[in-house]
Amino acid sequence: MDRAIVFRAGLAILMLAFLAALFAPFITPYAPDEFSGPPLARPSADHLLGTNDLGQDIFSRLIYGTQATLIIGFLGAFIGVGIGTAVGIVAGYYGGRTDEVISRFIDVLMTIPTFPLLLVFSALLSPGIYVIGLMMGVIGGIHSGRVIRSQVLSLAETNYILGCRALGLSDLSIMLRHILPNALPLIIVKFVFFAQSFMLMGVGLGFLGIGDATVIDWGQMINRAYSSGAFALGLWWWIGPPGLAVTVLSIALAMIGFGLEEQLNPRIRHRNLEVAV
Amino acid sequence: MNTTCPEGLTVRHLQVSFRSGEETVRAVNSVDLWVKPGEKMGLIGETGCGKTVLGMAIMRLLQPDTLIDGEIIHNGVPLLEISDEKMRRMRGGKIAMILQNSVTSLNPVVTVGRQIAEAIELHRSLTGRAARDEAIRLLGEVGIPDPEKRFECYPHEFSGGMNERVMIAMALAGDPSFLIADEPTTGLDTAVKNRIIALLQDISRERSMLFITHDLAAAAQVCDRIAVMYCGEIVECGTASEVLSAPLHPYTRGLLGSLPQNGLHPIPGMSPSLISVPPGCRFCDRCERRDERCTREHPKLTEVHTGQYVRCFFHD
Repeated sequence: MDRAIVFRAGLAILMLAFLAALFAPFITPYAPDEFSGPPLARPSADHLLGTNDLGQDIFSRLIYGTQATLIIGFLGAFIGVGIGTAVGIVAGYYGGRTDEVISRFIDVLMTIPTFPLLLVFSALLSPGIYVIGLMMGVIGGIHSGRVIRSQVLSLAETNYILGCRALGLSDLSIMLRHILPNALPLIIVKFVFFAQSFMLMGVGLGFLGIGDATVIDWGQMINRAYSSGAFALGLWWWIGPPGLAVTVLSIALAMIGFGLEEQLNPRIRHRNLEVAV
Repeated sequence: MNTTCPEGLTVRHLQVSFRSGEETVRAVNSVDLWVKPGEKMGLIGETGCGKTVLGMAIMRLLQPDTLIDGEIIHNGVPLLEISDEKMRRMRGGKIAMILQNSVTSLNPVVTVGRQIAEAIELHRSLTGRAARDEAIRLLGEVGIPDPEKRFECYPHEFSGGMNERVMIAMALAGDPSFLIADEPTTGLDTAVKNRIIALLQDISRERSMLFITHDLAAAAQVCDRIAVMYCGEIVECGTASEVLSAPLHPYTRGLLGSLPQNGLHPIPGMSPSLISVPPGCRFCDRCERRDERCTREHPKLTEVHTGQYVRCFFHD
């Protein structure tokens, strides 16, 4: 399949999710916590996706739930890959002792299992979504620096970086203005894949009932439907939509990453070229 | 060879060696060199003789674990002794180097104009619009047609000759008084090469230059004096006309003899490894005139007559 089409389709779905999160108050017919109809009503014109056991509109809750899900995923990836990029570039550019220290630090970080640790923290401290995102990024995202470091290692050896040094540029401006732009494609792909995995992790926390209880998220919606026996009772409109939404958004992010990978892997690009010729 | 000039560049007893595992590669050996202000000095020799390493040592661009010994003085500043930060400010500002292989020496994701403007902003008190205008002026000066439009181009949109010109423009960005040009004509066809040589002559009119090349014809056109390097040391040094018309060292004679117009007679044999150099004259294995003393004793660089030096026993 053409990777460009896959990429665009994924991006379109992601944009849709962002718009839904941003304009939730304007799209939704009811407030998410409002008891707007009879409990467990089937989907109808009044309630597009029916209502839950408290008579809350599931469509409205689904749209509002986009916010928390996206915030956790993207904040986590932003912090994780952001720090990963900084340490990866410093380690790869300076090499030697600096590289050794940073690489060993990342190795240690990689041995820490992110999700179980996050479970313990969340259960003990019941943090908000921003803190959850931050923790995910710090514990589970910094090791993105490993791959970035190895790319920077080879970038630092290039002739044009030597040229920059011959011109008297400072290390900082070489790293920011010459190495970073060259490593950016890799950084973006890493960002997308981490956003996907952190989003799923956030939904997982909500499903286990230890996410941020003050916000609506898809994991909690599934948890509530599941524990109320939605499966056994055949209340598909209650448990289906949040589950489907997570799946679609996760696939969309995977599609974006898949499409971007082409830019990074010359072998894939080459194959496409041959087809074109 | 103990001449020092207070101005210009003086290199004294320079030794550069690299550690590679257990072995030490002695790339530059006790090199003495000086370039007076405004003078064009050619450094010629075959690939691997240490020309580039010498240039990089002057710029202090070699790996930090390289062993460097000796003195490099530029306008009274001891380059090997000043701090990294001071040296960084010298680079591109006082001394600039045109690196070998221009195509890979430009950042592929930054426009050529931006790369020149960056160097201008760094070394002169020009920013933004003014730096941009100066970069466009430099592009025009090095002979890029339609510089205003070319400012926005990326290196892959340029030909090899144009990239070479961009490299020269970048080196000129800080208005340095000393230029090191490392094989600027290698890999270019004859027509383009001649134009680049003309450009180099033009821009070095008020500057000193160390012109590193293995192209004797190019060196003859550009340089006032020529030093011939062989196996990490200078074997002959003198004015360009003397060295090229009346070479004293057998190696220089060999180099000239291997030119097509002189009958294309290559020098037999290979230059010795820089890891285990012979104790005597380093050229003796390939030399027709060698005698027993050459294999035993290392000749010193001696002044044969004013300004012409040679490292050979037969000119004592």
